[in-house]
Amino acid sequence: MKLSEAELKQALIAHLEPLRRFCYALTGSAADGDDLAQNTVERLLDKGVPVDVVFAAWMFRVCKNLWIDHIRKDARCSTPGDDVVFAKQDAVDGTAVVEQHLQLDEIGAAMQQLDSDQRLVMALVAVQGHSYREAAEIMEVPIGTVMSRLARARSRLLDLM
Amino acid sequence: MINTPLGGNGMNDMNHTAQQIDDAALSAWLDNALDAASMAQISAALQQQPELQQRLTAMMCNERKLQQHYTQMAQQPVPAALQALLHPGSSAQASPAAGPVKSLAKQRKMAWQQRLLNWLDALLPRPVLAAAGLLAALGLGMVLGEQTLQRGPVAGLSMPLANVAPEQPLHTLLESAAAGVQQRLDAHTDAVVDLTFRNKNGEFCRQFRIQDTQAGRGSIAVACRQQQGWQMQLAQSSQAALLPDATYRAASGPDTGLIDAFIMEHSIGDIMAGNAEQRLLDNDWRGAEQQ
Repeated sequence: MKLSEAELKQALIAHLEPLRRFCYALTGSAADGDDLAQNTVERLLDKGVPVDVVFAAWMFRVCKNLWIDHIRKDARCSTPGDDVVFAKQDAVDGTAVVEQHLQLDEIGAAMQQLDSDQRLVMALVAVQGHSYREAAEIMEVPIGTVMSRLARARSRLLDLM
Repeated sequence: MINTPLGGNGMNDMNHTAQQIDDAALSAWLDNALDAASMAQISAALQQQPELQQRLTAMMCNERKLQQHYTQMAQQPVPAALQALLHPGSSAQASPAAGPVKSLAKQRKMAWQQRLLNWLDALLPRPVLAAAGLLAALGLGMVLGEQTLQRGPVAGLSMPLANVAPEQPLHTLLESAAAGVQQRLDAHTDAVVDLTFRNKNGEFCRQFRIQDTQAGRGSIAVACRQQQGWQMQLAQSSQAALLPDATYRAASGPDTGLIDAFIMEHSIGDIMAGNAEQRLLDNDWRGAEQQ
């Protein structure tokens, strides 16, 4: 048994901001992130969602699979570096706001340098706040794998920042 | 809670003074994902190893920036095409999921703020304190804290500020103590700087904890270094400061939430730690312009 269309849309609206945040963390850009979010919504509306599953976990898993399919099929890279360059040009003004944007762009750029598996686990645990168990369910890997990937991702970010 | 063999890769030596804790152990500690004994061991090691504290701080800074970065992005307007899919004819407003939709068991309060609090609570020695002038400021802060929590946004705060007099031991602490190094201010008062950050005005600020062991009071506060000296910005009573030992516990509720929200609101996104902080201290806080 699946959720009705109205129930599904209501659930999607309720989870839209986490979904977009997740998509941005995976893709590294607003445009690509919103494309991924839209594809996820379309897929869920098309295929439906069983009533007896945890909605958010199901949604993130569908999103994750779409993203993996995309990066496998399309070698087109997002361009986080563009944002950094732009921010660095603005930073000439020396305002605190620009500096903050610069720092945030730098962390976004660093995130995009992680392996896809590491980026995924960071998006789930560090950005979204999921528990290891939830992340393992969404990633479809054992909890130990979540822990080890997360540790490597955090180490790598320390090296990059 | 996950039982991880920290005696293997995580910690090579069970002696706290000699523990070598790797990033895997730090990462799991950060997420409170270890058994109680391992959590306590790492907490103890963190108190004794400044390098480890610095690495943890840097790890947390990264997560904080990630949170801010993607949250800001997600707050942009929903694209029309996406909106049309979900709510044709009107804007897509978030509403609680209802009906048969199953939610995650519990949404962790993870956010970087919560992690910061967890870290502070776990990491800090039992701070304590009280100089007469400061207690006045802390009293002010506690009242202010209640008002602020009722009013909501920290951004709208206006508050009377209190100077920290140069002759006070607290001034010396703020001026020259590295984060994490507990200092005794007087016979009944200990204090420790938790962290150093730069606010949106370019001023350096320090969060610190202070506790009067005799009176049984503890507070957590923020002071910023301004032209006229260190000025108290905010203070809040903290039960965490009164714990009898330094073992890990998860922070919760309004304990230090106001302080944390203040830092999130006013920091430009960089917490100074390790060498960066030490350079500031060594250079008498000069160098802001170079950063």
